Amino acid sequence: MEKEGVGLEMTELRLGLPGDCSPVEKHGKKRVYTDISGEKNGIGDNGKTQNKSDIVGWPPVCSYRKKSGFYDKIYVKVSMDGTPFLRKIDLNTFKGYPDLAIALEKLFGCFGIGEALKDADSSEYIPIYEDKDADWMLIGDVPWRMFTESCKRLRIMKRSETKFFGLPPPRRIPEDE
Amino acid sequence: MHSKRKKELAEKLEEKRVCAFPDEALELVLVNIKCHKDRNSVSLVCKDWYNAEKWTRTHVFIGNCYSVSPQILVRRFPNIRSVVLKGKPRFSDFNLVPPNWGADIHAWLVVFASAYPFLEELRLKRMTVTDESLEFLAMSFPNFKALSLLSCDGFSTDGLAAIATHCKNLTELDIHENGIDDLGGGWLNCFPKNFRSLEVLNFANLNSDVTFDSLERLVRRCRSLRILKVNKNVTLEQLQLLLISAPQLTELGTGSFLQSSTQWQSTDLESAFKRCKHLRSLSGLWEVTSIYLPVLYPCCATLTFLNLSYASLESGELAKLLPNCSQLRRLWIVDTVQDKGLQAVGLNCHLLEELRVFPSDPFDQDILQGVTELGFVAVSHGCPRLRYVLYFCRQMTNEAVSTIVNNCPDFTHFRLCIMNPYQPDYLTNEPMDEAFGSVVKTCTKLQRLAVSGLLTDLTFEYIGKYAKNLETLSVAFAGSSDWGMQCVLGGCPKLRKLEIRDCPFGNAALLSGLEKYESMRSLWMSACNVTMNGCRLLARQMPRLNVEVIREEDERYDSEVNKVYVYRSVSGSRSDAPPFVITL
Repeated sequence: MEKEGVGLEMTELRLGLPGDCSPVEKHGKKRVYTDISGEKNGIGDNGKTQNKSDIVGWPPVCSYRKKSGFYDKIYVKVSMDGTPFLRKIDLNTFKGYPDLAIALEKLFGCFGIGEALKDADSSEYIPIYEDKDADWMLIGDVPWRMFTESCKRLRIMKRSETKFFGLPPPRRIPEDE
Repeated sequence: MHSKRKKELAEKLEEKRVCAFPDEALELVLVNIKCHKDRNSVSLVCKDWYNAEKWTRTHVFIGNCYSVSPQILVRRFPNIRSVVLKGKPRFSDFNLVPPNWGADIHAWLVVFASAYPFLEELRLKRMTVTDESLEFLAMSFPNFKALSLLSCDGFSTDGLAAIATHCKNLTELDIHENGIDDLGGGWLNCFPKNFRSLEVLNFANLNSDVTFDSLERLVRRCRSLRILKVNKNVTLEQLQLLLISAPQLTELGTGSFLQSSTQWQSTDLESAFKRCKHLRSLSGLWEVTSIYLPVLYPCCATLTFLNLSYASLESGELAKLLPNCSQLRRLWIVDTVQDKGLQAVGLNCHLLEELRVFPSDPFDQDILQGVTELGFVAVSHGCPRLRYVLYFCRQMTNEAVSTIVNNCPDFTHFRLCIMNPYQPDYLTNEPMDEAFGSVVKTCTKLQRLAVSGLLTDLTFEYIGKYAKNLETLSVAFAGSSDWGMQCVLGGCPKLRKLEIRDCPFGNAALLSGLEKYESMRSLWMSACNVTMNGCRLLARQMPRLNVEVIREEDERYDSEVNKVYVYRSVSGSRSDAPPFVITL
């Protein structure tokens, strides 16, 4: 009654259909499923790893739940000068630059990032980001959406640590402003 | 009394048919029978009971909109006030059904408008609903009270505006997750100024802003409002104002829990929550952080349902929250809580009956975090009453599942999704056959099962042999040969829905179910080994089944069948099938 010879190869970790030698194109039949092992963990040209499943509708997460934006995550690493560890944040959880500034200040326990975004010279901190072209840019210049789409990672420089950059010292804001 | 019914009873008197029990009395009794399965039994007793039941049925549930036509429905049940209709195959939720497949509500509404002018409730799942249909609905039924839409598509917020404008007796507007075109929040302003009958308002899954003033005034004047679920654009300060106006709420869906201004105090929100002494269900909580979770603690003691499926909590946050939630029966969370978080569930929620763990990063194979078998086992130790589980994970073992079902033998719904296809038991490297074997052997009440992982035909032998109460089975990337599917179709006496994708089941398997399909609602098979010949044979042998092949543009070979949908119907083949649906 039992199918004969459930041999050891049945338990072999493969990414094809059971009984198949090749994972694709059986009898010329089109398969929705493609060989996901073929996509090695490559670094895509936007600096983020590309290891997304190519199978349509798998895992079975309702498409309307996907529409809610819950799965639109843009993870980027954040480093702060003088801090030995990196943090990772999801840019999609923020509505705009002010939200991002508050979150960064909370993450690293510092103040002044909000000011830096409004006026690049007024703060001890210089928040910058690396974009798709691998250029380092000041955060806050471009519209928020454009920023989230091109940002690969963030860095918060401290003015005091950039003495070789030839930057002016922080501009002191008069008290009555 | 309906004029046709009067005529029927008069005719009966004329024919002098002996009546042991007056029909009117029978009707008065039958009005109290609500369950449609019971009513179906009643209608089979004798002609008089059939008629009495027919006239007193006010609610009808149609699990497949193509199994019957609106004309047949209104002839069979002339007095309906409340309809539940389900349309597309469930795999349409995962984009496996092309757009414009069908299940359009409009033809039904047109018939209802003349046959059921007093229609009050319409609940739709996976139907196509246009704005024109919503407007037609709003204008055609003056008594209309309740609209619920889940996984539907084809409409926009303009349709909601029509409902708000014209449905003067509306008590329920329940918009779940749908493919809705969100054109803006202006629809909410369409409720008339003197409109106050709303009891249920759910717009949690709409993305655009509503005018808060309108919302607040609406909430304040609808004194019977018991369910309110707002969308993520409603801020914490605004939520506080709403809670002050509606402390009688039993179900609340919050907006975003992100702080928007530094001036505002969370203590006010906490006291607003404290005033809500009747809350049984809490959801929303987008972007909730540990700073604000404590404001919820006071109302958690009475909660029976906590939906954190849009809040990516960490294990520590959940561990602090749950000791306040000892009455929980249902919990939906995201796998960011990890196994440690699930341990907290097992420690605190001993009355838990339902657990759903959603994946935070299902499409990124890089991510190794999430929950494992350990978390599931921990829950099973602490929650022996568990009967419904949906669990997304990346690793599982046969032994763990066996332990779980031994701790919780009362499972009625067991949906396990090991996210990488063909994944074996990660400790022993064996197939997961024994896991599902232990599920079906131990959980004798099992009604719904979704399997995953590396599975041979043995899994299906077990299912066919032991799953005597199984009604719904979902299979993906599993099985070794036709034999697997044959076992299921040869066993499982109560099987109603079978959905299969990417399995090596072919024509022999398909045809082995000939006698079974008429007792089932439907069968879906995609990316299997079925051919046109097999489907044609099935269609020829079983004329009361609709055998529909979905042929997509890029399929080159006429003999191949990528997607086939088989279902029983009393109304023959579809008249609205699009060109890519071939009815055999």
